[in-house]
This record gives sequence, C-alpha cells and structure tokens, in this order.
Amino acid sequence: MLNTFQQQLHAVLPTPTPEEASRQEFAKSLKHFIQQGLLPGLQPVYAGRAAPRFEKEAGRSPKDRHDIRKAMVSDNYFRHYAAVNRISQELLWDSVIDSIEREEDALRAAAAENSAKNRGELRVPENFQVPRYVSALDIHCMPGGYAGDPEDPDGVSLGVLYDRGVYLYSMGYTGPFNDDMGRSVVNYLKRKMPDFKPKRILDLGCTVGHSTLPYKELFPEAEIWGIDVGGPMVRYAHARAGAFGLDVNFAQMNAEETEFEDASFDLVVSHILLHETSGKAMPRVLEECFRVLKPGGLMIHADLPPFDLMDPFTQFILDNETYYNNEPFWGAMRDLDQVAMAKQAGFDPESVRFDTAPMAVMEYAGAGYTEDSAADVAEREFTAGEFAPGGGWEVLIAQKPA
Amino acid sequence: MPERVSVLADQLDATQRVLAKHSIDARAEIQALVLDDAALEEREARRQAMLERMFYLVRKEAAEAAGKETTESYFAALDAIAER
Repeated sequence: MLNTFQQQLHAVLPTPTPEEASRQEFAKSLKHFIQQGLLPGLQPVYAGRAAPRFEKEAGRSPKDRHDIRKAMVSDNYFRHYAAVNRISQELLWDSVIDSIEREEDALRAAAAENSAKNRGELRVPENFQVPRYVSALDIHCMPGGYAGDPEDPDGVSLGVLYDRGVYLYSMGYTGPFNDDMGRSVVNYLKRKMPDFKPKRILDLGCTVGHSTLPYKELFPEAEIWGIDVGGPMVRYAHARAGAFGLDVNFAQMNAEETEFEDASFDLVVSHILLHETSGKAMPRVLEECFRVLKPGGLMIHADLPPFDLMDPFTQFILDNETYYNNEPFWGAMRDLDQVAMAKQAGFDPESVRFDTAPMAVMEYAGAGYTEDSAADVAEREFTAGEFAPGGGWEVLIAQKPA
Repeated sequence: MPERVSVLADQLDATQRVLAKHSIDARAEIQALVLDDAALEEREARRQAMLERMFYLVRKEAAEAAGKETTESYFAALDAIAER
C-alpha cells in the first residue's frame, strides 16, 4: 500500500512551508518503510542467526523476551532497525518544530481566539504538580514532553507539536483529525450498547482532546470533560475544540485524583493513557474511575493488551518502545493483570473484559483516504511493531455495579 | 549524500531565480500548490523506492537469513556442483 494519508489542517495548526511539508512527509514515509521494509526481517534474523548464537553461548534456548533482547542487541540487522526507528522518531518531531516556531505568535493568537469560541470550561490551576512518571522524561521522545515549562502559563506550542507529531507518528492511521481511537470506541458503544445514552462523560489523559471530540459529536447532549496533567495540552485542546465548533470542558487534573464529585459520570474513558502512568498510579486511576462513576456506569480504556497471550518474540518486538522510545511503563504495564486490577477497584467481576473496537478509519474519505487504503489499515492482521493493532483497538471494559 | 542534497538545493534555488527574472514567481506558486492524490502517490512511490535502494544491503541480510543462506551452504553448493 502507498500511504498518502494527509492530516486535515485546522485553525490552530501551522501551515508548513513546502520544505517543512516535505520533511514531515519524509518522516512519515520513513516510518512506513521501517514497518513494511525492515520490521519483517527481524524474525528470520532472530531464528537464523541470533537465537543459534545465544544457544551456543548460553547452552540453552532463549526462554523469554528478555533473553531474546540479549540475543538481538548485538546483531547488526537489529541495530540498524532500532537505530533507524529511533532516528525516525526524532526526525518527525524535529520536522514539526520549525513550523511551530515560525508561527508561534500567530498560533498563540489563534489559540486564544478559538478557545473563546468554546463555551466549555477551561480549568488550569496554579502550582499543579505534574506526576514524575510524566515529568521525568520526554515520553515518546517528544521534546518538552506533555507538561513543558510551568513558567509559560499561556503556551500551547507543545499541544501543537503533539497534534501534528502524533499524526505523523501514526502515519495517518488515526484519520485526518487524529481521532480514530475515540471514534472507534464511540462506534463500539453505539453498536454494542445502542440504548446507552451517557449524559456526562470523562476522558482521562486526553492530551489535545483529539479522542475526546468524537464523544461530543456522537453524544451532542452530553457534558464532556477531558483532563490531562499537561497544561499546554489542555489549553490547546480547549482551543482545538473551539476550532471545530464544539463546546467541551478541559482541565489540568491528575487521573489518579480528580476534583470531580463521587458518582457523577456515566462513562469514563481513556485512550493510550494507562501505559503512560506507573505501577503505583495505574491501580489508583482505576479506583478513581470507580469513584467518579455513577452506579451502572461504564469504564473503557483503549490501551495495550497484556503480554500473557503473546509469544516471547512478539513481546520482544512490542517492548522495543520501552527501550528506544522513552516509554518507561510500556512493557511493565503489559505484564500486569489488568482484569484483576479492575475487579480489585470494585468493578462488577462479570463485566470486566477485553474486547476489540474496530478502527473507524474506513469512515474517512479524501486527502489520501481512499476506500482501498483505509481498508488496508483497518483490515490488517496484527503485526507486532506496526502502528496500531490491525483489526481494531483493544479495550478494557468494566461496569460499576448498579 | 549531503553533497548531492546541497547541489539539488542550489539547483532548485537557481531555477526559481531564473524563473523570477521571467516574471514567474515559482516560490509563491509552490507555496500555494495543492497536491492531488495522483501527485501524492507519485511522491510516496519515489520516496519508498529511494528508501529501498538505501537499505538494500541491510535488507539483503534479512533475505539471506530467511532463505537460510550461509557461508557453509554456499560452499556446499559449490562442492555439489563440482561433483556433478
């Protein structure tokens, strides 16, 4: 498949110069090439030379993903793959930063203007404490991270960087509005639970609100809140929602301990949040979901399925994010028993399960999103190391007892 | 490669300056250019082909591993052919 997906620009994204656009396209093309042209070579290299080498030296076969890593780290082919993958990640952020710096004043003004159009609330408290698992390093190598500089109270640049950078990172698989995850979960709800009409919805770790907005589109009467520990993220999210003509509330809050009252939401969701927390924070997030949900309310987390049903080589491939993409909790989170954790938080044991929410990417048209190319993305087999699991997003679902 | 990129950038700059002398503002027209799907596909195909050429050697390693091609198997093939 030739990936020609293009992001839909909006009022709070910069307009790249032709040179910047070419650099950004190259970063996207390189990612595509790595996943289609280099990733498939890892298995034969492992089976053909890395595993035999390990067996000769250790006197036994590699038994788990850690052994496989030991066998592979010294292999030139793997080193090429890992290095180019890392470089592509750094290149993509770098390719976006110039556009943002060039338009920084205009973007700040556009954010203020579009934020004013959003009738939803924006809460950014003073002296907010960003948890260490977010502030300690720049997650997925994004310069500045989610929280940025607390001395820049009006800044939105990191939100812009995330919005554009994540589109390139996902190679457009999340649709022209970056909203495939949220849209896929909403579609799942509409299809599986057509009578479920949530009046109040909370999106945890919403970053720029890209996954939050489909909930407002498809449940227009609902009051929607998106929260994130990154101040630049929620400021930008509020403006971005305004640019799309949607009234959505955003707040800088920690999902472990929100300011919301008990039993006040019908639906609590998150999209690729949990793997960016920590071993201590994750159970606290699930307990907080339980606290703020009304009896009978639903919790849905679209994130990473556990390692337990995957073979060690697949685990090894997926775990590369931990080692080469500043995703410190990526592998450890997949070792946790998420179902048990949800039950422990108080959710109805019978309701806790994993399921698949098929990708919504087929709904888009134009800007490179043809029926064939979207189908190629949505109907892939699962391949570890490719962006997004083929077939759909894995969701952890649980219901608070009525 | 940086040398070639530098040469190409200079050539593009020279082309735009020559066009400007003939009252064609190529920079502005390029800035305003909207690529259709056919152009996007042509560019992407070119980039992927270039990357395939760049990574030819490393991909060859994986192809050899997939085909279980080793130095020993190569010599064994030579011996087998010599004996026939």
